[in-house]
Amino acid sequence: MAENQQNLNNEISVSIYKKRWMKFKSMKRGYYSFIIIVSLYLLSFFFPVLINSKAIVVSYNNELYFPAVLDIIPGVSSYYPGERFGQNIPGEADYRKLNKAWQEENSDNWLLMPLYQSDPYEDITSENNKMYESPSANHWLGTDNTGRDVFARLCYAFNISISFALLLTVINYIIGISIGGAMGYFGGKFDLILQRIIEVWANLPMLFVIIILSSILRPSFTLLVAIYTLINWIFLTYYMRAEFYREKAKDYVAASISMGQSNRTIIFRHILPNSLVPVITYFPFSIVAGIAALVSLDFLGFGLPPPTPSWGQMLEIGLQDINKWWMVFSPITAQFMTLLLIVFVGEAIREAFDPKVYSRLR
Amino acid sequence: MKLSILRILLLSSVLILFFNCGGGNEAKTQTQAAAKTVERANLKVPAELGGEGFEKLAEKMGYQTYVIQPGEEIIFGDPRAKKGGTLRYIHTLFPRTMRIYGQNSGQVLNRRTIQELCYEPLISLHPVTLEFIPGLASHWKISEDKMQFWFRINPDARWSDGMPVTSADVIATWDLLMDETILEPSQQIIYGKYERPVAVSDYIVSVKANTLNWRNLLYFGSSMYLLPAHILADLDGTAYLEEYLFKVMPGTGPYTIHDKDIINQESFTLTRRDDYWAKDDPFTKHMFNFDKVKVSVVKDNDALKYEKLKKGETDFMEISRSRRWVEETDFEATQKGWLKKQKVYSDKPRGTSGYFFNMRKWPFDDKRVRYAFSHLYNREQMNREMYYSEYGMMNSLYSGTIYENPDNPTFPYDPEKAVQLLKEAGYTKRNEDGWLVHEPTGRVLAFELQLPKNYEYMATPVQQMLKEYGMDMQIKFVDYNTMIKNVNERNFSISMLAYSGVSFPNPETSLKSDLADKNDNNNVWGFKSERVDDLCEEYDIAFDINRRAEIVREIDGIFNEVHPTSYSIVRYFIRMMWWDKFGYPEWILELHQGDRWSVFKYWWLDTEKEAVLKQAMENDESLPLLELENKYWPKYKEQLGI
Amino acid sequence: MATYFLRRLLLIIPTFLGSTILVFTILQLAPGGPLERTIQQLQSGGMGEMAVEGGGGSGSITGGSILPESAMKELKRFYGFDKPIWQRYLAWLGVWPRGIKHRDFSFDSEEYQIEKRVGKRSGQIWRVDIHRDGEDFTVYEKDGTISEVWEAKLEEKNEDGSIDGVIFQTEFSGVLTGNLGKSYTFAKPVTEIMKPRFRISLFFGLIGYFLTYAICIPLGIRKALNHGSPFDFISSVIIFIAYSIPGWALGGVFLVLLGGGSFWDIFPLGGFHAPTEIWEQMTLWEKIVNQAHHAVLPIISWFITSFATLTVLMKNSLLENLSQDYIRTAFAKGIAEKRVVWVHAFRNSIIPIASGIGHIIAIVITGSYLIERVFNIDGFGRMGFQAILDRDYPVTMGFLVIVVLIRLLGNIISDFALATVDPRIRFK
Repeated sequence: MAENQQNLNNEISVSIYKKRWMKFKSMKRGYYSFIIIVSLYLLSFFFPVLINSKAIVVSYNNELYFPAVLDIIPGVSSYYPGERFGQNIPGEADYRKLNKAWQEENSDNWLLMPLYQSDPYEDITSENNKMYESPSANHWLGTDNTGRDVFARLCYAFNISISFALLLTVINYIIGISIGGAMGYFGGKFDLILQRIIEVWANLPMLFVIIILSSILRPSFTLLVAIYTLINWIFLTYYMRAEFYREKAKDYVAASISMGQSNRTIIFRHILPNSLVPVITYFPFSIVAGIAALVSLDFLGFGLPPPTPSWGQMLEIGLQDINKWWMVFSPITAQFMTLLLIVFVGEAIREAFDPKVYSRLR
Repeated sequence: MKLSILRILLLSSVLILFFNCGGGNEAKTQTQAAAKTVERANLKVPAELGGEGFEKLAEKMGYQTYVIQPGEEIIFGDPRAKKGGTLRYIHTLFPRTMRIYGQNSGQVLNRRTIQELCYEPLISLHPVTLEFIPGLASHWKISEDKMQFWFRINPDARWSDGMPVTSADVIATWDLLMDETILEPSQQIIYGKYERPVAVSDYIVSVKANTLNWRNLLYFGSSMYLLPAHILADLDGTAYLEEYLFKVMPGTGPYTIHDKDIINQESFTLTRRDDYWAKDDPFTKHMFNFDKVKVSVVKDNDALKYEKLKKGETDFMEISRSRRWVEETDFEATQKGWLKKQKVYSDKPRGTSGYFFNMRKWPFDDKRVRYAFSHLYNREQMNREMYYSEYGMMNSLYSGTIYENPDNPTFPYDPEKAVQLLKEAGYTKRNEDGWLVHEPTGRVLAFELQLPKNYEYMATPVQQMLKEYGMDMQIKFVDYNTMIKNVNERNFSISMLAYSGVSFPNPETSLKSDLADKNDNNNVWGFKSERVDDLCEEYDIAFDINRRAEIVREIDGIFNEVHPTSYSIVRYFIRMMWWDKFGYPEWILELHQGDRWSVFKYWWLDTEKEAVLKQAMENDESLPLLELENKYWPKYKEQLGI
Repeated sequence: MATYFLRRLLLIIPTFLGSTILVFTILQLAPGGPLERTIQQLQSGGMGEMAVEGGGGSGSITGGSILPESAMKELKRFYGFDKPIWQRYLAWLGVWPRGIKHRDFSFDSEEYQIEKRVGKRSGQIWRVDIHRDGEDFTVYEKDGTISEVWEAKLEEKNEDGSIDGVIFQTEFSGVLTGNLGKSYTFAKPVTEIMKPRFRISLFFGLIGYFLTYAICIPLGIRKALNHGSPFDFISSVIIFIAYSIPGWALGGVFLVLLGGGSFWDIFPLGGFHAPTEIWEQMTLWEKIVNQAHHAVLPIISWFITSFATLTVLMKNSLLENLSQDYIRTAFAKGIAEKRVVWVHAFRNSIIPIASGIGHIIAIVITGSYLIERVFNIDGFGRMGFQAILDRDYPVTMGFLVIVVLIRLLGNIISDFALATVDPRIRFK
């Protein structure tokens, strides 16, 4: 019996989501934005083979090596000493030089370089990089105050920023919606106590917590997500709680209760879809807020450890000297484009999820 | 003779009693003060006890003084200087207090403006030779054993409320500094090395030191700025902290600060006193020329400060970053010579900066690793690529001074040597990530550098340099307090630090062996050397400056050989920008203290120049440009053959 | 309803205690407190400036020195760090006696009475006699009575039989008595430091807050009514561009472009108003103009990011309500569009906005560190941030007390606003 019910539910929900997806697809602006942002994000995982100073494929003495490809996989080293390819330098191979040398010698060895041959870490210590170069064919968006390629850093930071924001938002939403919803729905003592806890929590001076934690631990991607989750889930509970209070007073909830439906069913099947509007409206902003959070953390110096590329760090350097316009222009434009795309997606999602066919009546 | 001494002693004890009974409301104090003025001014002190006519007896009694030598008048202010006008200056912090002593008073701004412009010590230092010159005391005497000092206070010296300066003021100031409730323990450390000063007469005061040290006269004579006894008598340490938090006590100096001119967190204005007792004194006649000096505050916002200079809301500014100097000082006002810019060379002690190793811990407990680091740290390249070749290379703890050991090796960029040294130290192989591995133990050569965010640009290129040769320097941002705490608890491997330079080096506070195993002191490296300990002891009792320089040079050499610091770059000049309306001595800034604070003392407002500037700006005309570099002091020293 | 809000007001108490205990504890864990700062000042010979490229800070005659044990004790006592943390918290609240005006004394092994100078009273040196009975002390005034204000206690017994003690006064002073303590950095009462800064932030906060609402709500409505039109699209693009630029960044650009130093001289270079000595000479009208002139750029920078969120929230909320059945009914009944939109839909659409009011108030009043820094304004946010960096615990706690109270009141206001706009909501 229970199983049947479950199956039935699944069938209904599948068709509902299909319907919503179809509706979403019909909204061109949002749909295309969605495709662009998702494909850019997916593509960003493959930046190491597109934007890198390492070769994609090296063929040396009839053996093949894939240094840049190894960069895609986290935790795998792509380090090949120069000696491996017969290069007489200490440390890592210089693939650009190798390429040149082999071409001049007409040697049997060959390698394939990525399209954009700069990586986000090479600075003035490398021959190709000078401080504050303006945009050119070599450096599409110029270089920064230590001579690092702005375009490469912008791209790599895109992946980090979006991943951070996405992860942060998803975790926040799960926690925020369930707790906020439960508070609004159950009310009473439960609401009262949780509200006190949240209030206490919200009053923590986060900067202090971060200073203390960063003096003990080494800031890393996961740690930052964890810290930000600790504070950010709270904001959502305010809205969810208000929405649930409002929805609970409506007749359809009263009807469900009188029909004896379980709390879970009422919360997730009835109230939640009806109170998603502010939540979904906030989704794109939450993503952008996540990006901005990382930007401000980096700006204040408690973000990801250097030399990790980040928009906040780039912006900070740009602002030190506004004459270097490319340093200000690049991160702001990147942030703006990302935001715009995400907001368009958000708008489309909202309409797709609206159970009523949206129509203006006059 | 005997009788007169007795009379004086009696009189002064009565006076002291009288002061101690003071207090109550302000009006009462004032009338009392006025009464006291009369009484004290009428003091007749015999010549042999410092009164009128003492000058003639001084030499016979073993006292010394200094008179300006022919040809060096210009060092004490330019005779062309005229009084008048206002100087506007912007600082990054408002003083936490207007006091010159006690909790929170140790800021640069307090020392260099309030203390140096409103108060005076007994004796001062000659701006070029660093010999003692008269201040409040016209003469001073040193005992045979160099343990006791006598100062003869100039009978002309007056507090700003008209009271004469007497021995009581010296004693009262010392008492205040020794009061632990002023919450400034460093004062008790410094002045606890003396016994309580004793008044020989109203004008002669003597002090005994507890241990033999050539600094004794220097610290007591020239770094103790006097406060008036007749005010201090009503105060204990706690009351001093509270009542004078944002109020300025009468001083003897050329300036004073009125209560209404202290606008908390915004600005304060120093006003020149027409009744300054030494205004015709040859040492100070041509100094202290501005009628008003206004110090405003712009906190942590260097960009805004610079905009204010460009707009003319402030008169002058020191540029600290090379990028601004090279790339941003070329605009209409500087091209047309309205806003002048010049690099002024001086002998200001440059301090020490660079990467400080913790020699107590792996991996920098091995000298070869420290040497290798220095050979891989390509500061020449950074200077060239990032600092517009503005700087020199630092190779000493006492860079650019007579204390620098000229034989110090320079540690040039030499990766081959570095690789060789690392090999010898056991770092022979690289692991699959490309990092060096210590063969005997299998440890990867990785260490953490804790750093405040704003230094990032100096560290990431070094990170790249080291990476190429397999050293993994991981940078972690921390706030400044956390960084210092970790350094003080010796909880670091390597740290980017800077020690400020001092005119008289103090090697024992950072190099003594017994400090190496203790926390919270300046021996952050864990530096130990018996020879240096011996030299430090000898240094304390070496009264000859040449011998002292020899000692410090030897210490510098030993230090550099052990190599606990990989030095970075050094700047031998101050970059100044100012609106072209001022007159100044040819040398612009002092020799030894050559920084922006000299402007307050030696510059003046040139009304003619001001008019010319105004006209030029109205008619859009150009004014003659200055040479980009001012090398008055280097040339001066060359002529003298120093 | 009235009882509900009364109860909510009472509930502020546990939250307040909870927050302050938590933060008080965290503060003590942060590395580099006031003690370490004093040590560091000593080490660097009292130099407060940080080094810059190419060398150390300014030179001085006296180099660094080393803090002796006794001075350390004195400092610990001054900052209260010689007591366990719970006592310090209770003293901060004002329910535990706080020792002040400490002075050291010591008895030789055979000494049973000493005289101690303890400061001044009405202009006279104040001396008291301390009598020793074993390890207990009694403090007598000079007239022979037992002192009402001074207490003495044992510090340490030395090997040679001498005894070190400390004489001190106690007082109850803390948050509950309206005393937030004294700032470590400014050495002034915290309330005195907070007052002017709070006023400044309130000025910017309230003006900016009303301006944002005055612009965003109509704009959101217009966008909802013209959903999908070119106006909607273009205004979206503009507010998102604005949202992508951090306010402080914009402020910095404004100052360079419009401040008069480099390009156009339209606005003053930062500051809350003209320098005080000029400000005081101004007539009322001049003051208003001057204040407004100084406020334009900071306010734009301050609120530029909140424009986007509010506008979009308003738009989406109204859109949602316009598709509800009751609107359909209202239209069907032939009610004019204006009335439907403004009376029926609008009232319901501002619910989500209303529920955020309290939170926004808190944000507004606590100020913005970065913007205050860019414009050289001494506001509340900058004070709080600087206090954290300087480890100025009394100011940090004072800041926190204000922020917590405002936030808690803000939440109540939110609920009240919610109940007012939506009669269906019942708080019990």
